[in-house]
Amino acid sequence: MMDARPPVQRRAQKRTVQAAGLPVSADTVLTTATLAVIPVYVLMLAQPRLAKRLLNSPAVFATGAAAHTALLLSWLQSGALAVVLAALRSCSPLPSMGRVTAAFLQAEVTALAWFHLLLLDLFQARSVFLSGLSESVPTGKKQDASGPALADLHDDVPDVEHPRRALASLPVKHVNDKAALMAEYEQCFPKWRFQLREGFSLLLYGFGSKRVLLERFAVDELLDGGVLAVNGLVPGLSARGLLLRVASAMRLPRSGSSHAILQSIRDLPAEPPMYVVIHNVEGSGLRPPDAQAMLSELAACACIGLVASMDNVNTPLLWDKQVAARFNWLYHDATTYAPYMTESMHVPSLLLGRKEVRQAAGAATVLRTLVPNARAIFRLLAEFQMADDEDGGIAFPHLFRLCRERFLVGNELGLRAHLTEFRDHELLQTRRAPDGTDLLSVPMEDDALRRLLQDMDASGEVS
Amino acid sequence: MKQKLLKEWLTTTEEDVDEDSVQATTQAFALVRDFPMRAPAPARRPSGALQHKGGHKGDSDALALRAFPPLVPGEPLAWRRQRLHAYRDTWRGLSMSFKAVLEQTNEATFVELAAFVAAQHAAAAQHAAAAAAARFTGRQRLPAALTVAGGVNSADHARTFPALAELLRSQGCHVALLGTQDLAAGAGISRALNAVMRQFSGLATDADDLEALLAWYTDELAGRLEPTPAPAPTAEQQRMQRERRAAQRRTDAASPGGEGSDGGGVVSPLQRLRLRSPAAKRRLGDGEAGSQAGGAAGGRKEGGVASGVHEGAQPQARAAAERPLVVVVAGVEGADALTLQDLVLTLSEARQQLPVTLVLGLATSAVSLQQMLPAAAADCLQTRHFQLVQAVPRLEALVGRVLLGEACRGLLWGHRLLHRLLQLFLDFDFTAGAVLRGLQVACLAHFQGEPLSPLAPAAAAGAVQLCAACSALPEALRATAARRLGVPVGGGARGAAVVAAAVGEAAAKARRWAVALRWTHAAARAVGHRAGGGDGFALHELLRDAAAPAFMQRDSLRSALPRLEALAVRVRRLPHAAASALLAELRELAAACADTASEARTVEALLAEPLQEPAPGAPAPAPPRPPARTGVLSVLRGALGARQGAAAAAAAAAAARVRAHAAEGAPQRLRLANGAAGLLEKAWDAHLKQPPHGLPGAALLCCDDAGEERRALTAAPRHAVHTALADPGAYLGGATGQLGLSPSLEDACIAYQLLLEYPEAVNVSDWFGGFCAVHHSGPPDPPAASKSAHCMPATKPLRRRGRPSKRVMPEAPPQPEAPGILASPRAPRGRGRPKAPARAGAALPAPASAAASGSGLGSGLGSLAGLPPGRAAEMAARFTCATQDLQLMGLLRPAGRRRGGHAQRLVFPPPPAPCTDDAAAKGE
Repeated sequence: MMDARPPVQRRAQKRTVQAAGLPVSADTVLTTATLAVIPVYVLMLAQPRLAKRLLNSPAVFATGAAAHTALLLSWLQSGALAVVLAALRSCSPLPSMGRVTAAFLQAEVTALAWFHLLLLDLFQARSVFLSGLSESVPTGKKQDASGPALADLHDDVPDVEHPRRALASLPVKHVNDKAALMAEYEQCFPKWRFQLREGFSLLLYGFGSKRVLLERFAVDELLDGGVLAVNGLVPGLSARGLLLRVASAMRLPRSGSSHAILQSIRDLPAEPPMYVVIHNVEGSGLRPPDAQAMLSELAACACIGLVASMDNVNTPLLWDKQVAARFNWLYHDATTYAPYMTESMHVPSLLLGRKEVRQAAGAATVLRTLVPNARAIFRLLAEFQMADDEDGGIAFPHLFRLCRERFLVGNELGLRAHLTEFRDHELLQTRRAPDGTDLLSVPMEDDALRRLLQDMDASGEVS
Repeated sequence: MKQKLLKEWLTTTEEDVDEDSVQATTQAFALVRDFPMRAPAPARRPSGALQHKGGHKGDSDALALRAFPPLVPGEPLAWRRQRLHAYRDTWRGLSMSFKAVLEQTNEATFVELAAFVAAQHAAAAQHAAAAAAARFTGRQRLPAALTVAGGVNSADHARTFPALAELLRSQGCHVALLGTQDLAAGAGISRALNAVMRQFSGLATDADDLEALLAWYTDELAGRLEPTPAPAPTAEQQRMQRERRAAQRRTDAASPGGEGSDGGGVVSPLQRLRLRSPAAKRRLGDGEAGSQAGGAAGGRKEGGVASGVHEGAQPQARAAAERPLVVVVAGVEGADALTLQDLVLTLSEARQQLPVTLVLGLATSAVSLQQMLPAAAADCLQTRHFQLVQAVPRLEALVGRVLLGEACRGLLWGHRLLHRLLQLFLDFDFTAGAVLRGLQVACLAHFQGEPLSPLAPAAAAGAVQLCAACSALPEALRATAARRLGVPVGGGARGAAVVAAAVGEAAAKARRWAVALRWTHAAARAVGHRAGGGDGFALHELLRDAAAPAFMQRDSLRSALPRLEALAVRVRRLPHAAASALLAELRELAAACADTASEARTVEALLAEPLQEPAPGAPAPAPPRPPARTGVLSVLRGALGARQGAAAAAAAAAAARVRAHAAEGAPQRLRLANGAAGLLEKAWDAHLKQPPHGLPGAALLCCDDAGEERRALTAAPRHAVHTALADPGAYLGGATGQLGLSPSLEDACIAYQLLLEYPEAVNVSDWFGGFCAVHHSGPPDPPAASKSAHCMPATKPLRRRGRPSKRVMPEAPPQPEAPGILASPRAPRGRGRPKAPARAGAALPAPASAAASGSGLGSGLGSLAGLPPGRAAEMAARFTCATQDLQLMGLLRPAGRRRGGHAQRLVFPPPPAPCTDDAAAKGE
């Protein structure tokens, strides 16, 4: 697109155009238009979602069309496009090559044509880009080209508060096969018990909850000794806590170091036995090496029979050779296909997304650092928000009254200090109600809020 | 990346909680059944990793018998009880022999260590006197015994250092055994010193400084030595005394009773603790103990630091002064280097007052200590190396003295089981304990699954016991016996005699076979073969290989004949002394077994023949023609396999040449060697050519089921989970005939099989769309329809979308595939649209609704939008539960913050299940 005219002629033309009152020259139009479309293409490659939003809005092409029309009109008025008009007039009926060539020697004509071409190309690119997105053709960044975003799902997918309970009412698949599997395992109960008494520890693995199976084993088969069942997935569980509980169940003194308690258990004879049934031995509280070492020491005691289940496939990595030798595991494939009713209670849902989970985790951390009254105020706010479906928040005077009734604050200044703290940690937002009052609300969904309150209850955050 | 993820999972743990949190987690526990009351006087049991709990003594037979169900109709309860008792007796004998062998393996090293410790302590006493006279202070060389165990974190050595500590204690030493937890980072040496204090003194004390340790040792010596004028204390000693006095004053001030010195008397806290200990109170009474403490303080006040108190205890005092102080550190490589350095420097500085000898247990090599310790600390050590017995020699001892000995009580170990156990030992665990566990599992499975197994211990006990056991054989089992033995077994005494003869013959043959193997091993050692194995002559290799029927078959690729013939050639070349020693060993081995008494007599006769030297003028016989590298060639050819026959022929020819030469004019000094070789060849022909496992009677004695051991000890949880999810028909009979994905599958199976098509990053929305599409597809089409629609041949690999995974699995598990039927069809992934024929895994016809939507969020979601809210909620619930299951199993996790809406696939299809090695195990 080089301008072939001599510089003197171009400068003269430029002067002519500027004298006609046109704000920009052909050079400027060419450069500006070219630079303007480049970011759009870059967005299509790097940020497809933003580009999608941009290209779906009419602003880009409306602006382009307006600029194109303005340029056309301006240059028509200034006579810069007289060559084009002459070429059009000479059409009989088609324009001649010489006239068209002469017209494109005019800088304004070339700039206008270039501008037109850019717009056209952008329009075509938009079609290809949007089609590529919808057809799952990689047109840009893979994350976005690989499919729709999770956030787009939330309009179609309802939030399921208790998915396990929701599924409990549905018919169970392969009922007979699952019952046959369980019956097959139950036939092995005497052998399992004998293996326990022979000094082995039993480790059940495989897909499906093994809780019911182990409970049946404990109730039906382990009749000759005490049985303590432990849920390894309970947050806060520790190996020392387990050891203390075992000692307590065996009526041994619970004071002293873990080593001393272990020694007292070790000193007991093999009869009568104490069976320890651990559901999910890979629970986060039992996962540290020290905890596993302590468990293995416990399992090596003569009077202890250890039965455990594992679900995480990486569980055997928890044990080095010495620990594994002390456990003396015998593995049993106990694939049951039973639903994980309680085991997956603390596993986050992928459909809810991680944003809420992170938000809830952050809120829990912040709340843990606050004074008890502040936590109580937050609980009040959250409970009001969950109970209230209409207003979408609580007005400050109402909240102050509630807090004062519960002796949480003595004056408005104190409450405002707490609210400022919440706001600083993004635990509170304010919005204007239609009647002009400010409504306070927690920027979290009810489900996440409920879980947060449950966590607070569980950890004793709010007395 | 994989290690990083695993490390992240392993370190994602709960912080240790305090007692209050323990109370808060009571919901984690449920007492299903109360612990019954114990017997009034509990017996103390030894502890340790190798200690077999074996609590079956009190285990009631009624409960235990349920684990031994009837194997044939009509098997009486008494016979099942015999099986139970036979298992218990057999295993008790085996495990006890095993433990005895393991404990004896390190005996020689332990004795050396004890001598070293005693010598160093005696030298320290002399040196201390000289140093005290010279008023020398500062660091001194600390004697350190470096014991290299061999094998990192070997479970076999879990009891090594406790056993050493027990031995040293029995020799009169004060011993403290420190573990890696005592030398952990961050705690300094106070924890280690506290552990040393506790173990040296036997008291539960919190003292954790060197001064307390010195005070304890001073107390040990004080009052027991003759009152000698104490040397003038050095400045350092004066400083330490001042500190001890200050510590004493603090202790007195803190003690509620107010007992203590009256200012200035040095009474160590340890002595007070000892007098307050329950044992002291029982011995002296509470008041007496207190006055004793005061008396000790007063006496010390009068007599100085080293003044004597109990004149009558001088002999004991001298003995106490001769008791060495030993600190054993097990697992030095796992200790914190700085803490270990501090400990070494501290003990080095205090050596004049506290003559400690270090015993450092190293798992790898002595060089690792040099790499751990700085030069300042390393220079303080006066080291001497001791080598503990390593894994292979322990295994050899186990095989020689247990598996080939009488401890097996008539059991024969089959080739498949031995192959599997040695594979477990060499490839996985490298501990003899793993072999023991495998043997126990196999033994238990044998007695639980073989109805005639009680005959094995009877056969080992003798012919009379065997006849008695066969006479007691129930009628219901006689048919089984007849079938297993291949002979008609009638009723009464005649039938019992037939069974007894067959079983007895197999047992006797097995004993002779074991002697022949040990002869072979002895001969191989005599000619210089490596004791550790690798050349087929180690005991464990011989035991494994000889149990295969192809061991002595010339036309077999696994034949050992060339090796044995080469061995015979080398035995013939042994010098007289070596041959004589070999024959003596052969005689000893044969004499140990009653079934090889004739062989023992033959060897005895050979040894008894006088040596006839050749006449002085007689021409020296030509030396035997060199065997032309027969042994090497034969081994090489044996390995090549293709030239096996030629190698065997060459070896046989060489052996024949040597035999002929020996017969013609071999020197007399080669007579014994020739005799030994002849005996070996005769034994091979008689006992090894046909292993006892092939005899009819051996079928009742042979323990050859490796499957139970493989399932129970080396399970593959990943593979099981993958199989359960990718091929549910393996577990659920109703899902056997299904091809591809259908809504009738478990939700987790659908989600997992869809997940398998994704690379590392999984778009949750896309995945959910595919999941919904599967559920909308209805029952699967018949195979013919699927074939005509979208199926692709099974051989075409699946094409993954996105960038290829960084993890490359060596082998993908074979897809379940029925002959003649196309590959398992996959549900449409992602948008839920029907896949084009070019895409594999698109065999499942997509739902009409899914196909109709075709854009936007994808057909799965598009169809979801058209569903009633209840159905959409069901889909969401199903998908949520399925993905939670996968997350719980560690197959998946939510992606990081930068990849919102994505999940990270963590586990890729495992390689196929461990090879059964049946072909190899059969010895073919």
